Amino acid sequence: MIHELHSIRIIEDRCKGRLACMRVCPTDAIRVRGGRVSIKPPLCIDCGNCIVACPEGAIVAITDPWEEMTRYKFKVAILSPVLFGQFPRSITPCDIYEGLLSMGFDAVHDLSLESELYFRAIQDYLEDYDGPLPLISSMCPVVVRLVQVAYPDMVGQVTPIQPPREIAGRETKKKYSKEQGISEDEIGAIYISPCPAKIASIKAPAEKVKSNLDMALGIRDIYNPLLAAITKNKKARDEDGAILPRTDIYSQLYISLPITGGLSKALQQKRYISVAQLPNITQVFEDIEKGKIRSIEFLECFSCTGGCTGGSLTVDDRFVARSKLQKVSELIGEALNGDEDKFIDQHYTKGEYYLYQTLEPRPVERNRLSIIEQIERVKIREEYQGKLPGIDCGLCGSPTCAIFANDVANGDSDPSDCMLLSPARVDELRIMYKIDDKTEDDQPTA
Amino acid sequence: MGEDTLYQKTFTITGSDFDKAGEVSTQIKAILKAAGLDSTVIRRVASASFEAEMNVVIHADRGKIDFELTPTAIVLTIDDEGPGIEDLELAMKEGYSTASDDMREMGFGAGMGLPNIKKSSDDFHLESEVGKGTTLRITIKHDEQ
Repeated sequence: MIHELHSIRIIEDRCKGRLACMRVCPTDAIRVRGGRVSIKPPLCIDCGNCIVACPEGAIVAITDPWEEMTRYKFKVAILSPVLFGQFPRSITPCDIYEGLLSMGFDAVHDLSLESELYFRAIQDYLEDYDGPLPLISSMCPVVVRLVQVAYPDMVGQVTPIQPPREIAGRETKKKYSKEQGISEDEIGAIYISPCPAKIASIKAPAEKVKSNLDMALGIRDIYNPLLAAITKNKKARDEDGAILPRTDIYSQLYISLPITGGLSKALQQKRYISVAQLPNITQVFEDIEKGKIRSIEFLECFSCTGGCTGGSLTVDDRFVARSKLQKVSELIGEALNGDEDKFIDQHYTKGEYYLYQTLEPRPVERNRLSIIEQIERVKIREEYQGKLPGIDCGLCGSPTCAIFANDVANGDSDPSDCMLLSPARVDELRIMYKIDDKTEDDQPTA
Repeated sequence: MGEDTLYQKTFTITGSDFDKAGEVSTQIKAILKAAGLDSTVIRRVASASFEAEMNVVIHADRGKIDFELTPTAIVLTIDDEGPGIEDLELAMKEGYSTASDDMREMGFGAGMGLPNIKKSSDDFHLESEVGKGTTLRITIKHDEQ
């Protein structure tokens, strides 16, 4: 089933069952059974928290292999602006462009125009919209999936505008097929991504259509060869005095969109809030559902701290990266000549940037149980919740006592998996985690 | 508790406890989610129970919410001890509120509470005795396709 495609993979023999991933999963999709981790696909929203948390590196993002690119005659790198914040300050966006070209891309495309088009489309949409508020930004695919999975009644509140990267997929294909005189299929629109969620959104878009982008590479995956290429180019330029190619980035919004507050600040006349990190987002969504939040018109949400600079496929410290992006934005601001708005006006067509299909809820499990059977389960859950200590040790393999009670009620776990309900479980765990009985006295003396 | 009750639970609410305000409706919502009810129904119940809970917190001394799930409906009975409502008809008018200035400053008292609850409900019954308290009984059906 298409919506169960994910961009996260477990390397089984690296997993030592250390539970770190289970504890950080925002949708409680992870269980550890028999000392090995498993992810429940319908619950996973591809946030990548588990990738970062795993001390063994046993959870990885599935990105496209570099060699895949050779399928395309003309390869265009479409850049998340987060990339510009990943290098030492002496490396400019121009250096990065040049490096990507040396690596084998035929063209490098920033999202200046697309970011501005996206912003105008959102403004127009807000203007004409009279449904329930607040509207929720569609930039972060994790948030979109969270709504689909856990807040199905709110899918209509997600702004149905294609994010800049998707608009760019379409625009680059048009532009370069004309320029190069080849078909759109021969052009590879390759997104350089800060997170696995955007990769998943390309492989299996939330609205169940085909993405405009063909491939995605993680920033982390291209970082070393790119840095090497940049360094080599810089050296060569020092020797022969060649001129660095210029970038044509002219949008400060392009740089600020993936950072918390970027979009909301641009929508200044609206009442907005900007929220990052899933526990906070969940809290706000709960309040929206209850009707507690009424006066807010626009809600900007990012799964990662600080926005996409916190993505799990980035390299540099997220806070430093953010500061570097602010610098890049200032430089762009200095170079503006005032003609940019006219250029954007020429390209903007109202109504051109909607998602190809409306977003649908993504129910976690198709329920074949009757309400009576479901309520029986609720009662079993409450019974076990009363018995369990509520310390959330995780050794049963479920993230919290409450979820363990739920797993027991659903028949996914056995009460004897809790070592406090069943002391025999301790021995099982000792074997599983290879704890032997040797004390210091038994150690051979040197 | 009726014969065909599948589930019943009573929650208590303390007047002027804004810190805990909203917790009851959160718990009710969690039960309905676990019971696998339709998300539109859940949202209607969550919003009605939240408004009702807030009414108790804002206006009354204390109260309780009785939550009952039957094979066809959710029945919420909100019972409070407090000043009661003098004019029920007026209380149902959109925009009418007796919330104090302090409450209004906190963003409450828009006069939409009861009208919104009525909108979310299939059956709505309000009774009050001035100086004693108010009882609100609402039914939201969940078995309609």
